[in-house]
Amino acid sequence: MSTPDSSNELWYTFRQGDERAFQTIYRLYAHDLLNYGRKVTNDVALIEDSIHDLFIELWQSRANLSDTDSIKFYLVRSLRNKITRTRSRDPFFQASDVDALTFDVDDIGIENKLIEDEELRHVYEQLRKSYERLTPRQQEALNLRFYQHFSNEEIARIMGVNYQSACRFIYSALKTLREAIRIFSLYLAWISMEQYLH
Amino acid sequence: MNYCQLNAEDLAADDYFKEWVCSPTPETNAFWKSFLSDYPERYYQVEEARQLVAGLEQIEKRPTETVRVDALWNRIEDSLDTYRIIPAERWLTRSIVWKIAASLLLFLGVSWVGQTAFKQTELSLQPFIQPANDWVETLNEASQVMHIQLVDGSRVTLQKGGHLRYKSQFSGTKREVYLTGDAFFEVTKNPNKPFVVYANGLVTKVLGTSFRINAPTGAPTVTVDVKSGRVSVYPNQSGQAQDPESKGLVLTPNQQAVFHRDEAKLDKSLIENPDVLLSEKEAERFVFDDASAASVFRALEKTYGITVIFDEEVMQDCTITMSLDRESLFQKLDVICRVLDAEYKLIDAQIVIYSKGCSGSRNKPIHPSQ
Repeated sequence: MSTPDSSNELWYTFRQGDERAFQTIYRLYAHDLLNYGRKVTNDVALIEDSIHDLFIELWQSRANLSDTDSIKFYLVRSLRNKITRTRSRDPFFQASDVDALTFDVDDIGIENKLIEDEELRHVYEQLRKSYERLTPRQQEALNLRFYQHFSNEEIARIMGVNYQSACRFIYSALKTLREAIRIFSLYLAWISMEQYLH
Repeated sequence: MNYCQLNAEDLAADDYFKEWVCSPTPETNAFWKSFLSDYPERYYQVEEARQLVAGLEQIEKRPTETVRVDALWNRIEDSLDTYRIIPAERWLTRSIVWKIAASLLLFLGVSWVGQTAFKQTELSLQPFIQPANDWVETLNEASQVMHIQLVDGSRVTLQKGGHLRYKSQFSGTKREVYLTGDAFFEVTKNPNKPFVVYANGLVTKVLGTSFRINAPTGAPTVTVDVKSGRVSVYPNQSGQAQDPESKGLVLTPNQQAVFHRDEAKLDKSLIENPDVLLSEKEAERFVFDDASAASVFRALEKTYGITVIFDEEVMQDCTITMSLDRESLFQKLDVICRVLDAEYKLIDAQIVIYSKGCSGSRNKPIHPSQ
């Protein structure tokens, strides 16, 4: 869901050396980059360092950059490469770091205010519990798909897997989550029937 | 795509379906409504898929970390600044000044040793302690903007072709700089030493704030746009008995002064696209349900730091039902005035509303979002 027209122009102005365009690009995508970074590593300092380096390099090499259809795609993919490269250089990095990705329940956002409907809130709560049991790669793919709104093709390129694998991550995750919702919906139906009978 | 055979996860994985859930349009609404009336038995699949997509968007959302975004930007800017100062200027402000300071120090040290050795206490050292204080001139000939950090910590963003003259040390009671061209100033607060910019006959005086001055060489006007704080502007007329500042204007955020050089006349207005002055937390939502015109105007005043003048008595029956979250100030005013059958004028940086009042039934609620 990128808007290629305006973003093309912004990218062009930035490459001409316009600092306002540069800052606009940062402001537009910093939140998404910080958000996505958490899918790749739990190390917040590493995420911020990588975003810092990414933007410094971006500014310094602006004259040599090529056209891009989607600035966001370019930034997200560069950030992921940067984080994984730094990590692979780090001798203390253990592969288990990825598996240990968990959520701080208070930290993440089901924003209760937004969900006024009590029943819907239960469904989301259930959804979140099942979500946390998904693999890190499934979670990453879902983030790219349903929060960052990338296409499956772009997700495959960002994650460095082939198209079929990207689709499989998403589809298998959706299937697991849907089952969780369905069980819960049945339970809700049963509860209301109980009330009805008594 | 044959949607009637898809189950919930197929639908959730579909681009068109996701687009409908995340950002529905009248077309997509109509499409899925007619789909459900054609295939009512697919209701549960659609509902489950909708919950999945909407729920996932919620789960992935994190509290917005504006503070971290800002802090990180400052870090990026600081790193870039170290590359950006042009060599000539760096040589001038760093090298020479420090060399002089270093030789002075050496000289002082030597003379102090000499002094204590010979106990010549009569010799006054005062004249030597004066730091080097020369005018520094910076002309931005580069194709990009230039960032200049002044000795008091204030920052100036000088646009292409801009020319700034300032002292390497701010001595005396004022911090004075001279500008031609276009520059944005972020001035460090110091109530004891006002910061004064002289630009093509216009004086801009502040204590600590951020603002932009556009004073192209030879142009008939100078404009000052205020972003934060309070700024006093006045024509540069020396040799008059009266304090020139009393002939000037005081500007608050979102206001603009235009100085016409030939007439030495100052006009006050609003900047072209006023910013929301409240923080994200404080900002009110512009969603009104049968709200009085007075409350809507008060919300505008608070959000943009402006003054709205209207006749409360005449407009007491005027109510507004609409949502105007995304529109700019002037777009909001256009819509409000259209709904109320009123007009507005911008006079002296104030919004004046002309209305003949409302007779209850005439103003129909409108919902731009539908």
